[in-house]
Amino acid sequence: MAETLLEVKDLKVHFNTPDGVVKAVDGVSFTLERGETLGIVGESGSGKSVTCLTALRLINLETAEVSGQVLFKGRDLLKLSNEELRKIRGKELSMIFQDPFACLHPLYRVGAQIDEAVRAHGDFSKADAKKRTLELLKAVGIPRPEERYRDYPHQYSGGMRQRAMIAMALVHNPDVLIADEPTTALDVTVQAQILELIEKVKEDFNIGVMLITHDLGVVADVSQKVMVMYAGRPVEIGTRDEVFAQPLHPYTWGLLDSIPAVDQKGKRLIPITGSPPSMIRVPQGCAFHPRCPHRFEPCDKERPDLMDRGGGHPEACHLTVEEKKKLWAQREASRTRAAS
Amino acid sequence: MGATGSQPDEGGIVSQAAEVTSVQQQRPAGEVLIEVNDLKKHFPITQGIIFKKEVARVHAVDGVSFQLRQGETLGLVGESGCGKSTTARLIMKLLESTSGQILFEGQDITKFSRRQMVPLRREIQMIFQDPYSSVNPRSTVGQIISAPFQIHKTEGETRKKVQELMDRVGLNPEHYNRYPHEFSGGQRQRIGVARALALRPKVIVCDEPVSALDVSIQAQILNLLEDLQDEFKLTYLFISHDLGVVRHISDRIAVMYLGHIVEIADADELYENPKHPYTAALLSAVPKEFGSSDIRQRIVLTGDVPSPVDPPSGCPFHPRCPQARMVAGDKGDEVPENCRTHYPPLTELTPAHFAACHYPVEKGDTLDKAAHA
Amino acid sequence: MGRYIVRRLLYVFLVVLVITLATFLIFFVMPPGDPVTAFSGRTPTPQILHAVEKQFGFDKPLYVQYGKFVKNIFFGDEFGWPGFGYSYVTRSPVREEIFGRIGVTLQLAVGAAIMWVIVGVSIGIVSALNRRKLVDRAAMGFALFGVSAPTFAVGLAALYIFWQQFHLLPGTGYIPLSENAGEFFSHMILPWSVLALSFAAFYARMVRGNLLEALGEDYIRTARAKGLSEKKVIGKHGLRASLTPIVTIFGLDFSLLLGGAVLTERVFNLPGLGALVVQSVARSDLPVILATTVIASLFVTVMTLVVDIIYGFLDPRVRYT
Repeated sequence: MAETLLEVKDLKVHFNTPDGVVKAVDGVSFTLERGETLGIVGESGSGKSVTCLTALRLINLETAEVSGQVLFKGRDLLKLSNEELRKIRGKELSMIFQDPFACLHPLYRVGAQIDEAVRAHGDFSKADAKKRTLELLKAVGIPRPEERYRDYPHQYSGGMRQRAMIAMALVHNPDVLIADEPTTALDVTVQAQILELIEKVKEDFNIGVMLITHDLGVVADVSQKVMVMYAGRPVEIGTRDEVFAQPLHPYTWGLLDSIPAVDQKGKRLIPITGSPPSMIRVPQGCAFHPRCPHRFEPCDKERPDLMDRGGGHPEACHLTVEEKKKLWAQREASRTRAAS
Repeated sequence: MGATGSQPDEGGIVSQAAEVTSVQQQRPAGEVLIEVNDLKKHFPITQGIIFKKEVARVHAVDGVSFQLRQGETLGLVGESGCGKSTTARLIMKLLESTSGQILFEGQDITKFSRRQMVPLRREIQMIFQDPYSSVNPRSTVGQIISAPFQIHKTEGETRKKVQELMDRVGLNPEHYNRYPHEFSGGQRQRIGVARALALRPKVIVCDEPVSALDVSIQAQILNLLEDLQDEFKLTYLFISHDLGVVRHISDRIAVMYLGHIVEIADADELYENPKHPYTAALLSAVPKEFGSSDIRQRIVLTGDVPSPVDPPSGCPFHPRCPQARMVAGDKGDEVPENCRTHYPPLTELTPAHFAACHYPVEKGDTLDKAAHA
Repeated sequence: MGRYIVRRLLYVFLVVLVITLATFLIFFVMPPGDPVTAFSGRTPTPQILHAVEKQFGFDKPLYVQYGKFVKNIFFGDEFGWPGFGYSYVTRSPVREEIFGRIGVTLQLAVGAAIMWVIVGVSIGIVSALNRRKLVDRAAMGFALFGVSAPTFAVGLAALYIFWQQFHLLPGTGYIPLSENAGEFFSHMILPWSVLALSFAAFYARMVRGNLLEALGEDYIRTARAKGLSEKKVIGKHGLRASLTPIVTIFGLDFSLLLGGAVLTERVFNLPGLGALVVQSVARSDLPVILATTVIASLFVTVMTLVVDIIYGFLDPRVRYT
């Protein structure tokens, strides 16, 4: 039985803004186990990033109302004192971000910034910290680490900066690595390198990885478990094979149909109509119903709960599993017809 | 082949030299609208106390040749810094080229002045990645879309025309007096499309038009672009780093690396049968089918793209090329002699399929082993 | 780096040359009234006029006059280097007049600069860390007052309160530090404070803005995510980023003051460069006006260079080419 590292229970993050309450995250629950990669996928504004930033309390808590629990190895991160939380950040729970250039301080050398991460926890001499930094720079595949140690961030390429960020996140062998859109700002070939590195890190260090991305391809590639989010709530959670082989939510179908496939041409895309809702005025009932081609009577009134309706994994859609399976099968059939 | 009339001597030499490259790409198809021959753009880096001396050059575009045919979509794909956007700007004459030739409908426009370009501007329009940053935020949508009319002083009934356009691209015509910030990203891109469409151009250069959009919105814009192409018989030069998007919309695709086109072919052919190891690596880096549980065979290239200031000798891809290593017998970083010394010319390997490689990839080759060696 | 400095020094030289030309044209060629008459006293005889004209070379063509003017600046005249000629009014060499006063201006500027940097930066930091709280609002209220209050009014009010009403401080004037240190400080504290006020207010607003901006940056989030204490996050990562740009502005402000803090010097009756300029303008003492203009411009151009070089050390992204 795998060890549960992170358990998020009914997390809600509401921001008070002059325009109204932004319900960025509105009831998210999931678990992350050791040795697995959980991919959280959704479009901008779906609340996937805020979920992760809230887990480490990296959002501005003055303007936000947070409820629910984020249990990390049994302790609720939302209730810890600042000092207790500080001791966990970067040590047991690390995070890397989307834009590795903006995330490194432009005025300090890369080596010094990683040293700092080493010395933030435990008693390290300057020399020991440097030794550890060089070890990690080497481990994440930065060539000539001794030279690169003294460089400034702007002397690194985008891929190297992300490698440095990963090195920084790993200095204390954390249990969980949260990666918030780690490859979005990178080129395709570099993206492949970074994903490979994250996978390798997960294997070598036997940690849990939370990978937040808008790119279904990335999720399909490296995750064991997938959570699809829409308007601050998960619409579907399952293993990768479950979600991609038998997705049970019309939003997931829409996403899959919107992505131009690399291996076939000509098929007309079927976009989801309309735009994602304002997070201040989230539609009543199912938040997706205004854009859903399969909406019916209860959708605009009752919000569907996230639960297993017999399809094998939890989803949040009023349609019965039989209907969903039928619709998906029809889609698959028409795709095969189009392809042949 | 359109030779320049005004400079018969120089033009003759240029067009002769260009003929060699362009003949290679000739194939029976639609009429050629834009032809680019050996186009180069080098940005000088200067140093000096009073007299500036050129110490280095950024080889942003380093000898690019292709043809854009009536009614087709030519995809230009490559990673950041490969020169695809610079190429677009050169064709739009937003930048002056260092050397080479740009022909529009057989007419050499390479040396055209700003004034000479005015009548051509209505024929070639551009769509940008972020339409918001390319418009004045204090102009209304109506003003933005009608701006080309005013420059070219054509229509009187501007408003009616703009509203027709807005309707056509899927914007509510009643929003004529709204400002760009009141629109979502997808709607702003529709504004950009309407503006580009206003003068009924023949060619639209699309520079990463959907890169900043969410997938569901991206699909809407792609569909819109396809519909408009059918309706107005448009020709697209479509620039993107997203292989899926390029594959979806393009008839032919050119792959760029460090200022060079390394491969150009029909979309299906290129994706099914990549000849250049770089193309093969790029394609392997994107997942094929989400449903399938087998992890794709990824060719992970080592290292980063070299600096265009000091591009590698010979084939620009050789320091990262898994194929070259395999040919050399998998001995560390060794690559064949000619990869290091000679730039491989873009050659037609199979009909209409050009690649610039000394050792083109054969179907079924596994580069993966070499990449990990 | 070496090449860069050489090139920039050449620019400094060029700028100073252009400024001398401009000031020369403005003050010697354009003004109504003849410098010869100005120098020759109240009731000059034609002989005196002629003698003066000859002695100062006003009979020569303009370019010869300008050449001599520039030559004197760079190589000195009969009174030493740099040569700025005679004052029309005091009949003494301008360089002595100026050298006597630079010290006072320098003391005023340095004292005020120390005050405004300390006060401005601390208020800015406290304000940023207590954004939208009472402290912040009070501090920004003070800043608004400091920025908008006119120096002469604040100076006069300060004199009235501390000197005439409560006799806490002695009045105006200047006592050299070497003469009596206590008197020096008690005479300087008001001018320093008054001069520092508007700068401190401006710096407070700037530091607050910079720090708030820096604290919103992604690298601050990274610093938190790696487990640094809030003290380090703000005190090291935040401040380093927000104070670096201040250096540039400080250099320019300071060099501008070295050309003379006109109002402060007038109000507190300090014999600095600014007071000299005012005095000379009133008396149409052209050589002095010219000399002070050249010196002030030299301060600014040289200081700009110094600031640029320092900035290169503070911000590794700046490259010298």
